[in-house]
Amino acid sequence: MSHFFNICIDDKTIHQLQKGDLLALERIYILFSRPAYTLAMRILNNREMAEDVVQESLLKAFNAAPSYRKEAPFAAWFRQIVSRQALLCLRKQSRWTDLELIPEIGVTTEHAIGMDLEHAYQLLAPVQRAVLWFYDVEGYSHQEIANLFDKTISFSKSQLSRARKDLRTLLNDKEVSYQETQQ
Amino acid sequence: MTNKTKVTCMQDYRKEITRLSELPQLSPANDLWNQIEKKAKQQQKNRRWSQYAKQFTELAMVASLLLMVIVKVPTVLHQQQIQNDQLEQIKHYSSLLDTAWLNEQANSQVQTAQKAYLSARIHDQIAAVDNQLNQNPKSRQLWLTRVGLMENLIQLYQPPTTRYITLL
Repeated sequence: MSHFFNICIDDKTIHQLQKGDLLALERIYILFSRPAYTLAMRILNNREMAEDVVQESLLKAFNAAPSYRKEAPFAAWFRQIVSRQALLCLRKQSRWTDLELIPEIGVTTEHAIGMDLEHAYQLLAPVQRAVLWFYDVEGYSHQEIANLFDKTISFSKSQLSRARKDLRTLLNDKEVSYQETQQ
Repeated sequence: MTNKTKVTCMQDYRKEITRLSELPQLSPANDLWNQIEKKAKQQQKNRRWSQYAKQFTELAMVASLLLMVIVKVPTVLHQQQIQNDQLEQIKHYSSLLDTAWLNEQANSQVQTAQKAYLSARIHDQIAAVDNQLNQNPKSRQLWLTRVGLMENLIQLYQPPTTRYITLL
């Protein structure tokens, strides 16, 4: 789990949330709105949609709180809701097959000049971006990613491999371009 | 970069991934709490109403069941009462026929062998019905059969003219 979601919640707050206490929800909002927004932004790369995801995730957590059985830490449970919500939002945009296509990947040096890691990551295809973030940053397993996408493990593996390769290509181009400009 | 070994590339990549996870945390541009609170309150309200509606439906079902019981039970009881009354009437008529038969038997004699034969057969049938009535005394059908047989028996001993007059 990314360090953003590494937040402990006391039992009292969870209990109050399960009872439908809005003050407990506000506390959850204060603690989790930024990690949830960051995750949604990394997946969707769109501010408005990321805000919607945060809202919907908190409301879902509020409604589903009575069914939370404390089998996993609350943060992990909530992160799962945010991840699902973000993917749902992503899926609404387009079909998976379209989302797997790279939008003008930055092979051209024009794109690559001055490109930092964050920019390179944003240039990845949406699905690859999501898989890369889930696996490398959030620490999800391939099985968990496959479940989130409702696909097979091999889908997760292949998408991750492509994402890493493309990211490396983008970052290498940046390096080459930088050296060229220095010469 | 092209001369680097695969291991070095992986190490570089690991560094990049570490940097990826160290990217700064982002904050929403707007405070979302007001909207979340508003929606949460609305959802709570909706949930409460749906619970009320569910309870109301359950109550309505129970009430309709009660109403059915209240309406149906007296009807059933009333029908049962009518049947009992009818049965009592049939029993009473049967006992009247028994008395009439006893009177008839005291005053008349068997005139022909055929009548004697028919009388014996009817008696056998009445005995069989009585036997069944011992086991099932509330059977309306059995009582009606018995009455019919008794009437046949009495008619057998009455002269044709009397029968004719009785019928009149």
